[in-house]
Amino acid sequence: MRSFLFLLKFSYRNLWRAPKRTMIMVLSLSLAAGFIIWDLNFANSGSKEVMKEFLSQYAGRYQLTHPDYYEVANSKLFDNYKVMTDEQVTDKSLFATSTRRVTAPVFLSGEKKTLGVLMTGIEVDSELRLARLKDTVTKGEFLSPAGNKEIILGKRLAERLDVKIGGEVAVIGQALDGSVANDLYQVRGFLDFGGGDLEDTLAFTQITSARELLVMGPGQYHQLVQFDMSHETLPKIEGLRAWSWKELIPEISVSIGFVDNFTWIVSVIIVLVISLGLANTLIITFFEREKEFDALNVLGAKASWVAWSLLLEVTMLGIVSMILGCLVGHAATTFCSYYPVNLELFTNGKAIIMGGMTIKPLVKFYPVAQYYWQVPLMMFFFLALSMIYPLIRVMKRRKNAV
Amino acid sequence: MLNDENIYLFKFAFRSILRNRGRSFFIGFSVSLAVFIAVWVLAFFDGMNGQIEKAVVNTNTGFYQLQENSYARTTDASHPLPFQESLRQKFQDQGIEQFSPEMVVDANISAPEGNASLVLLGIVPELHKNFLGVSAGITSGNFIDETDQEGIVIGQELAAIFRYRPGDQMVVNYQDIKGELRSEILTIRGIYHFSSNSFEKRFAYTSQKTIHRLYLNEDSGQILYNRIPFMARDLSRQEKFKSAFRNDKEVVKTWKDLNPEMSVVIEFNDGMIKFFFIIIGMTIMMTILTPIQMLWQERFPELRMMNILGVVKKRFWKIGLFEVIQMIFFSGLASSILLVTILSIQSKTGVDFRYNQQGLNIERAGIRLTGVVYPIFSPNQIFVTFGFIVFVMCFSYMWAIHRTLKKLEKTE
Repeated sequence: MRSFLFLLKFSYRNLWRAPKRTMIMVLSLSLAAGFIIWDLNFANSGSKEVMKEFLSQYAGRYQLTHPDYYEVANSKLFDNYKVMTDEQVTDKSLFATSTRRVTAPVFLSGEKKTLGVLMTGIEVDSELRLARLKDTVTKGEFLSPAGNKEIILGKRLAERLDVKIGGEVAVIGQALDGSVANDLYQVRGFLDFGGGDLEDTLAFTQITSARELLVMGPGQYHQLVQFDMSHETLPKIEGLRAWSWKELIPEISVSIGFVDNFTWIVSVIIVLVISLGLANTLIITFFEREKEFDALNVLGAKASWVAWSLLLEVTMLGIVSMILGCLVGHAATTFCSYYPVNLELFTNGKAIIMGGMTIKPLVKFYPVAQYYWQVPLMMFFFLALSMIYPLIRVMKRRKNAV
Repeated sequence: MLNDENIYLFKFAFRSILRNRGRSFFIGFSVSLAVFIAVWVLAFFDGMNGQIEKAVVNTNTGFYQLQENSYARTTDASHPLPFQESLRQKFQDQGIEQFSPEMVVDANISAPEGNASLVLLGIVPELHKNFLGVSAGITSGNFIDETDQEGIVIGQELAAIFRYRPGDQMVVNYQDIKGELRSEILTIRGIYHFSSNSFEKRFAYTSQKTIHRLYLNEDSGQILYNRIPFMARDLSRQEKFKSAFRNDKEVVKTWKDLNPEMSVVIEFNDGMIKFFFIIIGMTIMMTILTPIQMLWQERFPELRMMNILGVVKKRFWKIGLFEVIQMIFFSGLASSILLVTILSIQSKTGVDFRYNQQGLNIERAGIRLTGVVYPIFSPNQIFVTFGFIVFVMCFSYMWAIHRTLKKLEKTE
């Protein structure tokens, strides 16, 4: 124990021999650790915020449907004949944060064109309460809860069909009893998705109107869309299937995953570069003390003792740097939780379009606990790697010297 | 440029570098590696952005589109313009060889298998073949020809859903120029496999004669168009094309105007690269600053001695400058060799990211997201490489020399 304490003291004093140099090493290590923690928190919060912004507009966190409603291999394909009812949903608590939807692939016919769209029958009250679809209505009004056969449609779709607010469009489709479904709907508002694809392909009406068009039973619907964003888990309900947003919009999930992976790669690169530089500095520092090592050797210190002292020196340097790095990273993260970062910084001020919708995410940072041990661990790993070569050189010289 | 004194100092600088080969190697290697990684990321994103651009352009969008005004606003096809010889000449004058005048009619099909929306394109087959490789992607049957009056070519995805084969007839519903709902029978001449599933499901091709008969209810006897998509090398000639084709009946749009979602993806990627460059630059600077400073501080006694012997500060700066030049040369050479080797291989083999897509064919904004990215290696990356190294090395050496000479000043 005493010899260890001596070793500790010896290494500690060595650190203070060239304080400026030590400070620069600590600074570069701690800034790197701080930056990586900040960057990972940024990537994580960014992904979550973007998805929250995107999912809360319309898509929801997950959907409960008949197990065969969506095709497993391609969730863009669905079977409209597969319906569900409230009785099948055993966990009644889900209804508080969910909304029922009926989907109808139909043709909308205006003055000049007939275009295919996905018309969705929605429960207006709960959509107003849970989703942010209403915010995208920039012209006209959202559907009225008590109304009937009203329709809101994408701005671009309305331009293509040449329809005006208050005008009518003919809806033509196929009812679930096999008959031709057609009716006239009054245009109430236009959705603005900033030029995204969904402006061309989406329309909404009251759920009762959609049921009437498709000749469905009063309690039947296709999707129960969940808007509770606070959980990650999916419910297991017999006779139904929960589809997470990742399954329903895999293109968005993949894009988000790519940015997350890229952030980790950048982090590893930064640590690698820092480690190389550190190895270089350590080599110079160790060889500066060559004569001193020789003297220690003559006084009876073994080569391993010298190696241990150097290891301890670097460990102390690492620990101090990591503590500082975590503090710096956390401080920067906390700052950005009060002053969110606008992702439009990365797009020259252009709005981000995802899955056919415009989103304007202000990323409010949330610290993720695991990064505060993962990053120091990763840095220590590379620090240990960067020590190998200098130590080998020191040990070799020791052998030659004695 | 190099007189005897400079040659001597140059040699002196080279020997100084060689004196601590290991350390010089480490400094050079750190810089080379960092620069290699930074430029590789640039090449990777250049490749990915290029692939995105190519995929969007190949959805019959082209790099640019000359659109008739009302079509540009609302995709109203009822005001087609004649494709005249003067316009063909204008395309040639601009060096544009791949273009396709098209009439665009929105249509739909209904069958027991379901409903589908179609974009019916009335093309000039010869021009279209030159513009896009759809005709080369015919998997069964034939592509339409100019004289065809009732044929249609559809995508493989649409054919699979509705179980169509060449020779089958399909009923196409649409509204004609008068707005009247019409249903017409067309014969499937061929099935193509091209671009993405959503493209194959949506785009169908007919001849100009057919579309005139269907939409205008008469054969006008001339080539009409709502839009003319055309190819170019990239979007750099945007302003030139816009002014060349400027008139009150048409407008030029780029693929970025037509597919804003993927345009923003590219902007976002560019933003990420800039951010990455700044971070790597700062990291490498902080990393090599100390070793370089230590190398110069180590030489302090000998610099002092040289100073006493009459060597002026200007010469120390010269030695530093020659050291920087040589270090830049060696680091730049190492990075360039690494880059050329790795990128030459990877631009052929690609970098596989399919694990990220869980084996699914994923499409976004009408294009298939690529699982294998082919980094693009271009000469300007070598300029970026050297520029980056020059900046990092010069800054670090200047700082180290300045600090050492200041110390020398104090001892005088």
